[in-house]
Order: sequence, then C-alpha cells, then structure tokens
Amino acid sequence: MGIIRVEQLCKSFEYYEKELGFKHSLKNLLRRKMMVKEAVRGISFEIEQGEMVGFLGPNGSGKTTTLKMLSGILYPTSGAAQVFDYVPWERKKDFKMQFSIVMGQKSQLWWDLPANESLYLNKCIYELEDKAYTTALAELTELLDVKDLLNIQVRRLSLGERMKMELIASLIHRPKVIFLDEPTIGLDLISQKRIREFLKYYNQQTKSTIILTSHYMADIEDLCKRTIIINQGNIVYDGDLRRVNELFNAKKIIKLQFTDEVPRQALAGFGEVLEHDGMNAVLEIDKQDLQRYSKLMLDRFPILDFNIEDIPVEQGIESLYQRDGVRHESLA
Amino acid sequence: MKAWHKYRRTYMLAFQNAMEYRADFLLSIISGSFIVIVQCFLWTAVFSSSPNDVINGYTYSQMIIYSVLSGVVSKLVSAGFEGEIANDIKTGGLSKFIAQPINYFWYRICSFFGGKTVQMGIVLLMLVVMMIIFAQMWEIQFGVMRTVFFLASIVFGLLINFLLFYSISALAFVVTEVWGVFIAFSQGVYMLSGAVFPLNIFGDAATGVFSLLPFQYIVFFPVNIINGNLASDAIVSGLMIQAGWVIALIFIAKLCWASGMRKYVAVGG
Repeated sequence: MGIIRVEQLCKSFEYYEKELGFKHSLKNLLRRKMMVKEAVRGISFEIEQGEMVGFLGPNGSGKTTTLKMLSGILYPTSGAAQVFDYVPWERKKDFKMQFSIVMGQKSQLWWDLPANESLYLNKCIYELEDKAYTTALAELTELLDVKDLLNIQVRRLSLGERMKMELIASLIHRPKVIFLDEPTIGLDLISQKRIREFLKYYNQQTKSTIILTSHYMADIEDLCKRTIIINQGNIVYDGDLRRVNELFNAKKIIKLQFTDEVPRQALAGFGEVLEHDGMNAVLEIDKQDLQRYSKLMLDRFPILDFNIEDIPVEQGIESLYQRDGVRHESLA
Repeated sequence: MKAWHKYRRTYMLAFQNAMEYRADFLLSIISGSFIVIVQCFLWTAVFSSSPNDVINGYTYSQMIIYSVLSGVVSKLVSAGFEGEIANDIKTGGLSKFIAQPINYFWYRICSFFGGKTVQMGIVLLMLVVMMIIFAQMWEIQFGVMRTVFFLASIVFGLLINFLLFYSISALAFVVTEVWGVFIAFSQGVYMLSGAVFPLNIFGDAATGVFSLLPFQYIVFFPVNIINGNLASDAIVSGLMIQAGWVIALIFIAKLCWASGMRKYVAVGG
C-alpha cells in the first residue's frame, strides 16, 4: 500500500473580483462579487515509499495547493488524503516530525543571522540528539558543498547558496517524506543541476519519498520516473514523462521548407497547420494519412526540405494543457 | 533533546537578532522621551496657573512622576510584533510553522521576550534611575512592598498587552490589509492604557467604563501603584483582576486563532 494516498481531493478558494480602475474600487466597497476558484478538482493518486514523483503543470494549476494539503497547511474542501497513516491537516506532532516541505519562494531561515543558527533551531524544533545533528549536518554540507558558508549571515548569501541552506534546514531531521515546491526557481542552470544531482543522490541513499513540483521540464525529466501532470486542478497524465507522447501517437509532425511561396490554404487540406510563413510550414498529420499525403505534397509543392518527426514531449504536454482547458470551458 | 529546548533556542535567536538592530532601539528610546518631556512642561504650566495644589487627584509631584513613569512603563510593555504576525499570515510565512512541530503561540512569546530582553534591561535601569532621582527631589519613599507589587503588575500588564495584540493580529486571517486596524488599535490601547494621561482626567463616568476594560491594567494601574495613589487593598484586588484578564485573554486568543487557522489560505509559492 502506498505511503501517500489521495482520493478525490478538492480545494476551492473564495475571492473577490475587482475590475480595473478607481471607480470599480469604490463600487467594490459597497458590493463585492464573490468568486470561487476551484484550485484542485478531485484528484486521486497513490505513491509508494522511495518513489520520486514530479508534479508538472502551468502556473496556477493546483500543484502547490496539493502539496500544501498533503503537508497539512491547508484544509481541503472535500476528499481524503493520508501520508503514512496520518491525515495531514490534523497536524499531529508525530506526523510533522517525519516529513518536510521546502518552498522555493519562502525562506525558513533567519535573515539577519548566519544559517547555522537557523539550522540549530531546527535541530531543537525536531528534538534531534547532538550526534544525529552533527552527522546529518556534516553529510549535507559536504554533499552540497557549503561548509564554509555556515557562518555567514543569510542575507549575504546568493540565491543558490540560500536554497542549499534551505534544503539542509529541511532535511536535517532526515524526513521520510519530502515535498519540494519549486526548489530550483530562479536559479542558474549550474545551480539547478547541482540541486538536481543532490536530490537524486539523496533519494537513492535514504529511500525517502519525494514529491517535486516544478515548471522546469528538465527538473522532472532528470529526476522523476513518474510524472503527474496537473492542469486546472485535474490530473491529466500519470506515468512516465517520456511516454506522454503515446497519447498522441496517432499524429506526426511534418516540417516543410519551400523554394517558392506556398499559401496557407493550399496546405490546410492535409492536416492542421501549426506554423506558416510562406517559405516554411509545420503541419500535424494523422499517421494513417502520412504516406499518401507525403507523396501528394512532394508532387504538388516546390519542396526544398522535408522532415517527419514525432511530437516533442513539450508539445505533448502543451496539448494536454490545452485539451483540458477546452473541456472545462465547455463544461462551464 | 527535550521539547522545550526549541523555545529556549527561539528566545536566544530572537535575542541575537535584536542585537542586529541596536540603533533602532536607541532611537525608539529617544523618540519616546519627547512625549514625556512635552507632558512635563504641560503639567508644570497647568499647575502653576491653577490655584489648586491637587488636580484630578494628583499633586504636582505625583503628576510628574506619573508622566515620566507611564512613558517608561508603556515602553516596557509595548508589543510591536502584530505587523510581523500579519505579514506571516498575509504572505504565507505561517505555513512553515504549521508544517513544523512547533507551537506558534509559544514561538511568538519566546521570540517576543527574546527580542525585548536587552531593551527591558535598559528600560528597567532607566526606571531605577528615575525613581532615585524622584526620591531625592521630593523626598518620597517608594517602599519595598510597593516596588514588588509594581513589578508584578508590570509583568501582568506585559502579558495582557501581548495577548491583546496576539488576538487582534488574528484579524489578518479575515482582513488582508490590517495595517489601518493595527494603527487604530494600538493608538486606542495607548490612550486607554493611560500612557498619555492619567485616566481620571476623562471624568468619573468614563473611569467607570475603563475599569471594565483590560486596557487600564497595562500602564495606568502599575504606575498608580508606585505613585502611591492606591491603598494596599486596591492594589491586591487590581492584581487579581489583572490575573483574571490574562486568563480570559488566553481563551480569547485561542479562539481567534483557532477560527483564523481554518481560514488560512497560505498564499504564494
């Protein structure tokens, strides 16, 4: 049975709408239009111990909200979830001792003091013995290569260095479940890679269960065998990221380069024209028509270059996002 | 590792953190002394132009002592963390406290006292100096018992003030922009606590109302103990009322926060 179990989890927020301008501000004083945003709409999944799962989705898709419910920060509107055997939002101390949440955009370090002060506070918060603390600290600082930075005021650290300190602060009590919300946000490519390597190593060494949200594809491609793609509060895909495209296997991409200008209308009959500028075009074509249409096009148009490709992963994901969006609009 | 170590550690961190802002504190003492000086001049003028030796139940020396000591005591009990809490709520910083095995209330109280310790030490020192000066100037005996009661009432006053502001800061769960509320509230408390004028000035009817509220037990009551304005049975019953308010406010704070936490939306990343 999974270490994390989620069933039909929903979360909606109430908010007020305000239109642009001063007049509407005044109007809002008197009567405000209450809106409901369904951030998470009934998602279910199960995660085994030691798994590293990526949550992928555009901004505002409900990734972070889901993590916040799993860590007990938010109460769900409806549905159930269990981490270990605890209901997260009951906020039991035993539960809190065993997991950790890292929020890339929120610091848990004391800004004006050196990082080791905050780390020592976390030692006390998690009631760690001295020995457990010193070994964990030595190991983590070694791995992340920040031993020399422990005595420097946090506000003087670079973003990448601070993120490493955040990770150490969150892992010092050796949590069994780790939620990472955008751990690489705002970092340069090298720092991103360092943190990824560290997470990979840590997951393998400690057999900890990790959920990672990100909108950097590279983070997830690199780290997670399993990816859960969330869009508009729904799970639209759950599985291996590299196999997202099997959903779109029925389609192929054809890239064309012409020696002479070819009008868009002339191409429209073959499939969906994704890009077109006269001299170049990109088409999406049904696999079954591929052979027949290729021949026709080669005969009919002044073709300089002709390429048949699979739909790239990014585009597969993008289409997933769009497909879902359409479905909801028609529901509403 | 014992559980209470986390709070001791929080206290120590807040203590160290406060040392980073020494100049801030110095300035707040200087700015606080302005209003005291203004009041002393004001009362000197009032007493010299009045035919009476006693105004609103205070002699000239009592009034000056009141003005100076109320300034010192209000500095001693001042809160000033409500903005920090509101910020935690508004920007989602509270999330980390929910996810960690630490109690936010105790965290705040430890961090509050940690940040205030040095300040309190200095202010208490100033208080002693003032009292010695007054004793010399007007040959007043403050007495040991009276001083002990005075200090006890300051501790209660401090707790009442902390709890009031802790409760009011839970408003940030409901109202996103609470700065206006905080400013209005802290100005209200400032006046009703007796930090500006002795509350008797507002007349008997108002005094009756004030006695039903917790505010006068923050500054007015402690200063009147040391001022010699209260008989010993009034002091004892006042201390009991203070203790009662502390207990009542603990319940109110818990209530406000329990309902607020359910509304918490943990905005931001």
